[in-house]
Amino acid sequence: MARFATLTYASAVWDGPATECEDAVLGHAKELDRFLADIERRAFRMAQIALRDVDDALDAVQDAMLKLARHYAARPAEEWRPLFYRILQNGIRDVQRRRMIRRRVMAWMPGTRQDPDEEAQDPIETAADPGPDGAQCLMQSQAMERLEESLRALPARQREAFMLRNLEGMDVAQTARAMGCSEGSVKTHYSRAVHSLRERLGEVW
Amino acid sequence: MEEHSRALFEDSVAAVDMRVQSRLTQARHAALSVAVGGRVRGLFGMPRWSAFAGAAATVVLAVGLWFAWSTAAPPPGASGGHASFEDLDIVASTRHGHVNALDMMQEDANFYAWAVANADQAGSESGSGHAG
Repeated sequence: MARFATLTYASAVWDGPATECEDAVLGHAKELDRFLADIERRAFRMAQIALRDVDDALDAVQDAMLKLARHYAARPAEEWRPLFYRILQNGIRDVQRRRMIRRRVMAWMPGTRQDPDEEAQDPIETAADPGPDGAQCLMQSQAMERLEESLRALPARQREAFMLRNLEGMDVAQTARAMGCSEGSVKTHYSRAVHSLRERLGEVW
Repeated sequence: MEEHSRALFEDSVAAVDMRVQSRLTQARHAALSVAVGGRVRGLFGMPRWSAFAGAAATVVLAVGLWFAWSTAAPPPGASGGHASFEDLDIVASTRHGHVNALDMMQEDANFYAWAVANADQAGSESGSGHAG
């Protein structure tokens, strides 16, 4: 039974034969697999929008997956989504905090002003791929870029509320659990986010 | 606006490239192996108390840095010493149930090693300049 130490809920309450217990645990694991497969790309894009870096976004998503699996895999499946996004948002904030500390350290370093990890990016490498239908894709790409810029300009809590409510499609209660605040706060943050985005994007959209 | 932004976001999700998808799949498999394979030990196999020790060490480091920064003259081009308390808060902050200061220090070990080496080099150059 030690193999399933993390899924203690499933194994502890099981009265039947060991093989059936293993089946139940594996069934739970398959459900977790489906859940993670369902959200992984959306979670990655949200992290990428917040962090503006592919590798940092991938690391944040991987860390969130591992923490969810390690600490909350045995919880009911309907709790996973708000838990996962809460872990992810905390991870994103950790990366942002680390960057802030690095910038402060760099500012105090004599004779240095540039972090070696933040070298100038190759514009060809970072340019959007126009794809088969160039004009249409380019317009969409530009609109998405504008949206991402506007989202990044929002205060963190407003951005989280907008992404979870609108982009991820979570309801107010789920968003409140994911953000660790009251439903009233979610409504306030979301309303302000929509207002700010309309002001910023109104001219273009 | 909300519908438009959602549609754009969905398109961008669908356009995630294969390299990223591959990394996400690997991450998912790693998470599932943790879920089914049982509990794993903390970073580098260290017990949980080491995270608290790391957090305490970070707080000590933060206080040291704060005093150093408070007493040192700001470097040329710096915006001033107004952010000392903010720095202390950022460095020392930990979340309830997620003491990750040690993780943060370990993940950034290369950066801090590089920063110290750079500071030493700059210091020796500055010292030799004064001597000359």
